[in-house]
Amino acid sequence: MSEHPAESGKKVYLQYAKILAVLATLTVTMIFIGESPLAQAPKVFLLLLGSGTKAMLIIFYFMHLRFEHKGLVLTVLVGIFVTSVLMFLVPAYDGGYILEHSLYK
Amino acid sequence: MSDSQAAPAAGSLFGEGSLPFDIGWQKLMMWIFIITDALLFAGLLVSYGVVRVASPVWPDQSVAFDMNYITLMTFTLIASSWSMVCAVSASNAGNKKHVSTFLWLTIFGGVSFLGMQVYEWSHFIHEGARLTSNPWGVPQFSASFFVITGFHGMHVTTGVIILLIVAIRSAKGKATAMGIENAGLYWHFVDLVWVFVFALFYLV
Repeated sequence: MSEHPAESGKKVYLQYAKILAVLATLTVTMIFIGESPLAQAPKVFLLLLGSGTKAMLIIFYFMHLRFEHKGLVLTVLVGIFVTSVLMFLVPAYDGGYILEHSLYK
Repeated sequence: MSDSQAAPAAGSLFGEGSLPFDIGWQKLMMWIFIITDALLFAGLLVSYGVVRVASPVWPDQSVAFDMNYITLMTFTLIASSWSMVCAVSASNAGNKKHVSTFLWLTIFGGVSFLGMQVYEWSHFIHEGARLTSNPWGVPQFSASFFVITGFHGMHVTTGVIILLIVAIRSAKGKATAMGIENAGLYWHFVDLVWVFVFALFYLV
């Protein structure tokens, strides 16, 4: 079986609190990015970058994936992220068609 | 059966007794569920992306929503994820008192998030938003909001129910470390989904 940190107590809770602080900081940063006068494309890119970083912190530290078998890590990352990116690519590829044939014009 | 046809040795790739990915079946099933559920949310967010691209105008979210309030909701969910990971850590170390404390803290966070979501929904509906129309002019805006946040809220509700069962079982000394860890995996997943909902729906 994979090994997980068995120690408990204030020291471990504080270590996780540091991750929480990073997540909170990233959230605030993303709000500033969201409300900034940046163009839509770089804004979306930065927000996805921030979300991806937060997701990695949650998956690897809170969900303990960093302690798991390499095969499981690959399965989860490929299963979720690569497939999600592929799902985003299809409408991105067809974006021009969607805009041309927009129902709401 | 001859000796040569005996079952494969334990630990071999397809032999009995070997564990795929070195984890128990319960945890493996939870990870597989998380992957499939994540793809479901990815599908919803991609659909939302298509609607956004296809719509020439989109309402300014800061006009429709109180962003400070949404930020508070986000912090509540992230903080409950922290208390959950502490509960799992305490469970692995056999510290039952801490397990109970952190589990109830997580439940409190989940219920608070749900309460805030109910208020947000009622406020949104009170302003005239419906599934097929809203005062901001783009019907897909409120439809996306209700479907995406509703689906996520349903997951949070399920998570709170699971955590309540685990907390009660833990108090009775019936909860296993694996059960608490699996409940934790689900709860973190709920938090993980909100990270993308928050960024793509409220901030983009």
